[in-house]
Amino acid sequence: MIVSLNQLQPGQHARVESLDEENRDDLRKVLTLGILPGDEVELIRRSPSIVFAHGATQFALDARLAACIRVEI
Amino acid sequence: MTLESPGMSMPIEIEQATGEGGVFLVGTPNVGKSSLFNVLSDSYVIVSNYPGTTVGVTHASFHLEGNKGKVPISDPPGLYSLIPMTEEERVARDALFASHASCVVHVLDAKNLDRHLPLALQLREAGLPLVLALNMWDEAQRMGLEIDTQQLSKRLGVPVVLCSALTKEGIEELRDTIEKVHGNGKPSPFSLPWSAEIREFRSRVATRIAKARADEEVKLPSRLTTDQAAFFVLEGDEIFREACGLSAGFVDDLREEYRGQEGHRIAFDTACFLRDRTDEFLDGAWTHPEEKRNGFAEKLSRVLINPWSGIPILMVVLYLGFYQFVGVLGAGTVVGWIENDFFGAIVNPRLNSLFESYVSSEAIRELFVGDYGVLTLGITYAIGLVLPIVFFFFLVFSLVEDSGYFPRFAMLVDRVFKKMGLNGRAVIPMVLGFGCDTMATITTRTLETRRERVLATLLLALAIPCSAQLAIIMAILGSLGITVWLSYMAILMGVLLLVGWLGSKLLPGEAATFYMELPPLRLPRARNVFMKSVSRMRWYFKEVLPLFLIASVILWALDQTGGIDILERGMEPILAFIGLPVAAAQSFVIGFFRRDFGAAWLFQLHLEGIATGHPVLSAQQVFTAAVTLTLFVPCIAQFMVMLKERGPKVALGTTLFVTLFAVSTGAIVHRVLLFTGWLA
Repeated sequence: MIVSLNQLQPGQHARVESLDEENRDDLRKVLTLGILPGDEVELIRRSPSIVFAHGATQFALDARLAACIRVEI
Repeated sequence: MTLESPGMSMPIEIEQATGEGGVFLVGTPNVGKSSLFNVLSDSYVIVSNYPGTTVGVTHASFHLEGNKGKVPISDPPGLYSLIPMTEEERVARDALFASHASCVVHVLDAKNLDRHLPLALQLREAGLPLVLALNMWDEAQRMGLEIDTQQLSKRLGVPVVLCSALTKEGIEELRDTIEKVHGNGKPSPFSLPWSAEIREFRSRVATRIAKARADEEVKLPSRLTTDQAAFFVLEGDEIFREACGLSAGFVDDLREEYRGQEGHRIAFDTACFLRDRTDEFLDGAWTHPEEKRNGFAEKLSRVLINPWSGIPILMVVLYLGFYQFVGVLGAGTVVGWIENDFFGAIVNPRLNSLFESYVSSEAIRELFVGDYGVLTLGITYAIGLVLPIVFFFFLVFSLVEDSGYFPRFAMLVDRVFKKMGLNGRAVIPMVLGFGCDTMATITTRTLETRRERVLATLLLALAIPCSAQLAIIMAILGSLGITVWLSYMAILMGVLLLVGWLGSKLLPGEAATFYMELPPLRLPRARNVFMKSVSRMRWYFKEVLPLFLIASVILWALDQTGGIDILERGMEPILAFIGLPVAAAQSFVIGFFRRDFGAAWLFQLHLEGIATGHPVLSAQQVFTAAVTLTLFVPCIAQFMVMLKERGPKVALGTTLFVTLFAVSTGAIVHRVLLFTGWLA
């Protein structure tokens, strides 16, 4: 099943399926964090910001950017 | 005044970055770049666990082996990518390409090489004389990581050195390598096997740039090749695009054409390509064991980012760190010792009698030891009052900063900040503003859009009292009870939210998005915290002490010529409007020179009134004055920085707005108090 990153439950692991390329600036930000399709992520928190682990690094994003990352559970 | 970034000893002048034959460090935030800079150079810079606290390029000297002299070494802010997203990244990128560095040291985190190598590949392709310093090797070793530097170095064609700025492991080898590269000149040619499509699109841009370059219409750094410039422009670099004289439409059309043809945006394909090459380069040369997260730090982090536990902890941190430590201990006890017991009881009476007996001119005596005297007002306040308060503030700030708490704070408050047109990233300038608004205004550079920088500048000028001012106001209002103090804070918060909200509605531009790395929590090191605080203090005093003295002299001149009376009389109707007596006018006049001066003057007035049994100000008036003075004009130093960072339109507009808003708020507070009879 494919959902966006902010729809995962805390503790849930998923694989990045694709990135939303509609908004160029948003895409650039996500790419800056080094997130690409195929990467493993784990959601840590959903509020007040989305926090997730990507390898050994953790990132915080707002809902808008998190929605740009589609993941496969 | 020269503008410096907080805590640094060198002015920001990217043009003069590094002359022939210097060392230039680059790297993403949180890789220990500044720590390495401190180890390699002969000076100290602020090292931080929060992106965006190094806002300018720092220069120092790198000593060559033997007696071969020294070369400059530069440390710019960290950058995530060569295409800048924030002004600080732009400062770093521009400085890199403007420099004539003979050795560029790319600092990477040995533990996260896969994440950072794409940047190294881009630097390599740019033809820079590169050394890869794989820092934090000590931590990587503990994790069981294996790196074959020889293999990696062979594949990339540049030296790769394992090192640790913390344990000093590998530093000698890094020094030797830097010297070798410094002496050798150009690196071997290197290019990545980009797809035919990307190469084709790039060459279409390159043709245009080459033509513009031939016509000398281009303001590109000479170090940047035309192909590299084409790469940046196509990836979305607006600054280089404008420098090449290319229209946005031309580049957008190309990008859309590419997207139509390939199905993805070019930036996406580039990122995927660099990732694939990274995997190839690292294959067999870098082995990463299964990750083990550090148990306690990770658990603590989870507690801090959960609002139910994180917000109460935040309150405790603010209460203990800022209220108790800075306010009660620093501003109360220590200021009491230095200002009253030392200056008030020992130094100033002696100075007074000294001047009495040796200087016959009263005007000259007044200049040094009078009410506005350079010694009795300027120096006494600077050293007796501001020094301890600011130093205590910086100690707490640096401690919190080094622990890695700020990014967690940022994610907690992001949604509230969004209401003010900002995002969580703005916590650093906002919190720093409670220490020194001038310094905080400089760090608004770390915000992404001009809209956010303007909003943050305005909010800092209006509703964030600096530590010196806050401490004095705390002392005045403290005597009226905790409810008064809380009401004062509530009014400031309300103003912050209201003006931020209105500003974000009025200023054109898109809503800010929030994204931030949460670095691991670390136990701050006492030496680092102390050095950082001292370094910030030094900046503060170099920038601010001269203004203290100038303010004293101007006030003295106004006093001597009767100018103060005129100003005070001019303020009479305004003061009447907010229900204050003429005696309070001085606070407002002085307040322009130093925010805290004004408050201190008010405090003096209040105390004298109490001492003589004839209070000049009623409790209601004290409260109204405190609120109005806090919101009132930024001090001279802050105004100068606003002018420099945001330009005259924003600086003057902000000052005018702040003045009008402060007076109006004062009038409202005055009327509400009259109406409700509170504090009467």
